[in-house]
Amino acid sequence: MADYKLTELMTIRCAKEIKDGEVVFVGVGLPIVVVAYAFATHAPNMIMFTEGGAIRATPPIALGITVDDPALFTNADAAFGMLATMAALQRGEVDVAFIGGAQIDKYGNINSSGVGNWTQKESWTYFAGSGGANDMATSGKRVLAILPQDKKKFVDKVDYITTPGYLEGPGTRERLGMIGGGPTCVVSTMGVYRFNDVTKEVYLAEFFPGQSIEKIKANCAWDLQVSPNVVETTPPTADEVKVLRGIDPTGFYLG
Amino acid sequence: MKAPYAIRRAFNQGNLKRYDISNFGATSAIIAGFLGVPFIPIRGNIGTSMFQNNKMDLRLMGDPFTGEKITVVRAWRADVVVIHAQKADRLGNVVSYGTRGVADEFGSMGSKRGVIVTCEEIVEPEVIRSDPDRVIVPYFKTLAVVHCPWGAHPSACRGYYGLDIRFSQYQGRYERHAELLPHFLDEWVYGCADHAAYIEKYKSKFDQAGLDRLKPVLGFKPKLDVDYGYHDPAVWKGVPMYTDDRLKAYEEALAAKKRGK
Repeated sequence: MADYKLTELMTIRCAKEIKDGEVVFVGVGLPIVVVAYAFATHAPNMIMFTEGGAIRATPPIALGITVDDPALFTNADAAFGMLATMAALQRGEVDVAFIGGAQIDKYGNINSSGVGNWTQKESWTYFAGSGGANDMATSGKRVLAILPQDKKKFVDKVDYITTPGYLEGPGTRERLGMIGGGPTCVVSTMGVYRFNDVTKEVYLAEFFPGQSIEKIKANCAWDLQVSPNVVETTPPTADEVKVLRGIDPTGFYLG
Repeated sequence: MKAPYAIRRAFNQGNLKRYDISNFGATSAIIAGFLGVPFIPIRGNIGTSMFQNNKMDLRLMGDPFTGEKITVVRAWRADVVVIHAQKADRLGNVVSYGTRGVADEFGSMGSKRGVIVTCEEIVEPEVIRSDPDRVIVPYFKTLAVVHCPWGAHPSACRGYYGLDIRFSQYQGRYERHAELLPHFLDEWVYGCADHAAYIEKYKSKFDQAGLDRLKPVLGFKPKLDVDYGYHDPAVWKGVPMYTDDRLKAYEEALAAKKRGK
């Protein structure tokens, strides 16, 4: 079995959710590495949209640090501003919206605005806010989320809904006129989650090597549903890890 | 994920008020300002806590054509916009390329009084007029042009220098502690007479090598050969109307019919 880091397992597992030929909308951070890896392996015909406005048929020349990082625009197929790529979201042209966050609940609603009680400003801990995540999750055909897991991050109700999952459950997105389908997959530091088609509740589909269902349930604040077909995630191969490390040779994102 | 520390403290102490909105919500607000209309419909923000808490910018209304509910965002128009660009001329025409921000391009044009521009280089107006496609702010919106090399530092300026992540992290470590931040401000902001002094300060503290590390990888000049040639309508002088037998016969028949009436 290959030697790999947790970030590498998460990145490679996430990349497998992208199908060749899809339009994938990414922010910065680990999603950039995921997309570069997907380009290099099973999805060479993917179309990459960045929040800053680059449209690419090829992986970025280097991993960007900010959404307007020149590396993401150099030799792009089109270098628009945010207006053009985010307008494509509203037109319903984005297949996969790929986001992160600080807190998630059982309906896949994500909080990246802060923790505490919003109405008591002194006690509220501010985070950076939506960025483009809200727009991506509202209108992307399906949403892929990657975020760290513990009991304070996988909560029954998020302290603030920045980014809509299924909101209050089945039918809410439709009632509000959202054109996107909502979250379909969450990759955490412990496993992989999917959503029940009827109840719209998240359930555990895979646990990472070294994790157990009990441990994962203990790191989740609600009574987590587990798929009857739950499996251990296939660990990455030595070749896969080698390709990935070539993409982030300094370990800027992968650590 | 964490918002800048000094700004967070200001929020908590009530010295700054925060209005949450998504990136495309903000983009749309700027576009509405650019268009000179009071608000613009958007798809995002609905159903979230941002929508509940930011009534200043976000409302729901019925689409007057279909009756369906749609979120609208209020237009944003700044009094004055300050931007940094690669090149400008003495008239105030501003050229930016590579990575254009919505605020630079549309926020500038939507400003009520105008735009203050800092730039890496001042070039002659005829140089800019030879490539007007790249102008993001034309001179009539510009209030002042300031020649200010390294003006975007520690952010990036495409083709000139990259993001100074080490300096941003250094600044962040000062910002994290309320009692340390004033020392940073005294040294890097109030203690520098102008931006050139700030860059000199940088060199004395982090060495020329610190700036050299920010140099971009060059060699990415456009390979697309463009000639903005135009056609001179003066060539039509004296050229008779084109015609043929079919057209002539039809027009003559029509004229005869008119005469017959």
